[in-house]
Amino acid sequence: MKRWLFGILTLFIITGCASQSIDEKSSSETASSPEPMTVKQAKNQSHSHDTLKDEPSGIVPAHISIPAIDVQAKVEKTTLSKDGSMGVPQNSDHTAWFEDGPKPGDKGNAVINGHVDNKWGPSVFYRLKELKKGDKVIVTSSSGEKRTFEVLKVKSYPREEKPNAFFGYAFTRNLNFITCTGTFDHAAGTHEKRLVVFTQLISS
Amino acid sequence: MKMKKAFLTIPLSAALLLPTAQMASAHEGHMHGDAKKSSSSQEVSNKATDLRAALDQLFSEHAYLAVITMQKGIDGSKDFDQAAAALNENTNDLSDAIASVYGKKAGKQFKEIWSSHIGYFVDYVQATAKKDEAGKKKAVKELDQYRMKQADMLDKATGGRLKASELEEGLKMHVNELLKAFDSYTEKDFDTTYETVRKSIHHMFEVGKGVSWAITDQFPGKFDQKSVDTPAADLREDLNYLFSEHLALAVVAMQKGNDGSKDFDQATAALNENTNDLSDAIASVYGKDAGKQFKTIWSSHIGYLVDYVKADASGDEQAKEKAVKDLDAYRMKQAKFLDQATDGRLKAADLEAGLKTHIDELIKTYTSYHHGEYDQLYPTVREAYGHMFMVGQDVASAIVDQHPDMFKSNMPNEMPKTGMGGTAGPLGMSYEAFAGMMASLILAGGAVGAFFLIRRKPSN
Repeated sequence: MKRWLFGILTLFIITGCASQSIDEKSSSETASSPEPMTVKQAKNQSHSHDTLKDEPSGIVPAHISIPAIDVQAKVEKTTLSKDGSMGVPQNSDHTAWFEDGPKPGDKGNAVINGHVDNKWGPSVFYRLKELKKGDKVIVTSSSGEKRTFEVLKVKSYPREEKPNAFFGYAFTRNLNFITCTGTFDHAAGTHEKRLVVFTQLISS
Repeated sequence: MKMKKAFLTIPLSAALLLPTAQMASAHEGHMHGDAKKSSSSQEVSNKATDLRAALDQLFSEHAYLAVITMQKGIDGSKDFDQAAAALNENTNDLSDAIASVYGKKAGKQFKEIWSSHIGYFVDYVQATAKKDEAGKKKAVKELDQYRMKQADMLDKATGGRLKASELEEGLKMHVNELLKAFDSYTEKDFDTTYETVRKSIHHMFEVGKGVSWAITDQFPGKFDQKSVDTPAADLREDLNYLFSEHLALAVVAMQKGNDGSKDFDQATAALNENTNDLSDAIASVYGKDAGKQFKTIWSSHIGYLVDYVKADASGDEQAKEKAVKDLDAYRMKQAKFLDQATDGRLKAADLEAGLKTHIDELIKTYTSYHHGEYDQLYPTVREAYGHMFMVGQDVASAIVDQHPDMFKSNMPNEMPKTGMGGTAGPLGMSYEAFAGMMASLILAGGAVGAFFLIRRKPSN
């Protein structure tokens, strides 16, 4: 029923509004600019004892599955956008993993984001807000390796919130999901809030 | 490389939560020209990164002194008591640091638990000396129980930020590294010994990062909301590791040379490995040629120190004098190299003074060992070890100031835009309400009305 409805709506919008730019601003964010290599090189070369680090168990995610909300999606890779925000998936049915951060399963905060909606209707993370503590998320690499995470909490933040705490270093093996939530601010071309789902590795 | 003795006399507990004026001004002293605007990812020194460095110093010094104390224990060395006392002093400093964050009671609790694992190591050494396999097993079992207690304490203190299961893994690594370094030493597999010594020291920098991260995450207001996890902080700690390990291994090598120990060659080889890593770090910033040049100069001072020890041992005054002269010439060369590389950010005159302190301290550790003045020896070792962290900070400050672009954070500072508004109702209603209304309109044949509604959307 719902899918049928989207079809009609999409049809109307395409025929009625295709020439209008609804929110060019947000769609242009998909362009990503990789950081200059020098940072990584300098860091890597001075780290001569990587073998001493705790055993990594991270994988490069290719696919995620969140059974509780019927999500099955591909995982793209993304980096930092020009405006300093995390890049977003090129395809709004996909999710995107922040590849300059930890891999899902490694120590630290791995981050995957996805759209709550595209210009015409719901996207991959439309139902992310329904997740509850204890729900499972399964991440799979392109070679079929799996890592399972469990939801710890779901929280929304104002969009101005600095996301530092959701990225980078942590002592636990976290995978955080980010999407938009709250009222859509047409003038700003973005939602007023961000929903963050915090999960932690339970099996690898 | 101006050494800041003033800082070192400040009790560490105070330094953790109240970064000193000396540190701040020392950093500013290296800023070149106009004050540069830099994001906090490019700050080598702030409240958070200073905490990380302070904990790195204490944790890594713990591993170093533990290795030394265990060797002295099995060898029945005359300076065993003093080495053990230095290790206890380190425990006191660590406990004070914990107390400065979590209160006196927590500091005391930490001290009890932490001291217990040192006790079990001593048990292990004594059992090894007596060839008491059951005693060794008991010590290992007690170390296992220690891990649980220590992990539980830190998990609770940090509100779960340092997860017990992850901590236990980290502590297991620490315990195993120290046992491996010791076992291989008793088995005369000295290659493994020094390879493991290096690992065990380096591992503690991960511990320092973890604990400082948890504390700054737990009390962001006390640390100006700064992060310990930045490229500039990583550079500072990489250099702190390499410089302090240089000092640690140089002290060992000089003592082994003095004693004519069988592991002298392996200790020296580890010191050379450290030089290679240090040169690679220089090369990663200033290029291969600079790295090579640095290596030649830096290696020369290790050679001259060996000359000094040899000359002293054989009573050859002339050779000793030559070694001292060579070391003076080295200081000039090394200072000039770093002054030029950093484009004057590290001043040759300051560097020479700093290098003099380093060399004098190293020679003092040697002479006090040689003459059996063990009460002087270990306080000098600890002071010299601490100095290397100032060197690391100064060199990192110069490098980051000179190459700020290499230390930009690649972490986002803005939330992603993960929505395009396609499910936002045009009149501020929810998507479901809007979809429902659309459906009824469509079903009612009110397509024209729906069209009109949608048309309004972009203009809102």
